[in-house]
Amino acid sequence: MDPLDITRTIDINAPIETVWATITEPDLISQWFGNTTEFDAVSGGRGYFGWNAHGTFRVVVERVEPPHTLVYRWAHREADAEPTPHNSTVVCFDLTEIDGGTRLTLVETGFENLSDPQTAHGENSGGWTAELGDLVNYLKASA
Amino acid sequence: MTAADGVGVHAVFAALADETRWNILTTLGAGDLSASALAGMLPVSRQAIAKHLNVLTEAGLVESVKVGREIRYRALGGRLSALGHELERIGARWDRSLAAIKRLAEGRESGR
Repeated sequence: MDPLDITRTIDINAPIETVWATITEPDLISQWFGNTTEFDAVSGGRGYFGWNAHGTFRVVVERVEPPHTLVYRWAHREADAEPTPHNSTVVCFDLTEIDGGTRLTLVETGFENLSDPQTAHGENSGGWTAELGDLVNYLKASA
Repeated sequence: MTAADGVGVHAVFAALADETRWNILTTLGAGDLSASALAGMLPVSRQAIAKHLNVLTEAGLVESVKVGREIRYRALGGRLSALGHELERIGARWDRSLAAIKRLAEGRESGR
């Protein structure tokens, strides 16, 4: 696994089918992500995630294996644009049944391919060791 | 000013998405070193070290300093802070989203 991937795991006290519905049905997605959703949970399915304040961001489903795996690419760096490696990342939801519910593991990858000049100026001096320590702690905590 | 001013934080992601470069950077984090010294410490050729140092320099993660007749490389902090903040921001966004998924799924279950 790439150390720059974002990885998160959460245990949910609900059956896997309920969690699957929560991450794949548009009206339910809109309750935890953005304000409006168009989403088609089939391989190659297209849609968007919309925020009233920011616009809509297109999504293309890459892989679906109900009720376990959902992988999509979404172009969160460019409103209303076709997802490409330069404006999008890939999000993978993995669901497994555990005692009493469902374990959801999320991995977001592809940050190294983004070409977004948004965060430009940093101060190139000093404190490197402390900052690296923070970063490593952060990566450990998220692993 | 350095050549890296104006380079996006994603150049930093790209530069670090390589285990050898990550090792070079963490080694330099302990102290400034020449390319030859790095080649002696890591299982990588002198030539490869030079290439990786170029990428790290362009991303603003490393700068070269002249010490006598030797050129040494120094790890720089600002870019890593920017990277750390970006990862933190994205991670925090997912923490909120996943907590909402949990509330929603568990709420639908208890409402049955």
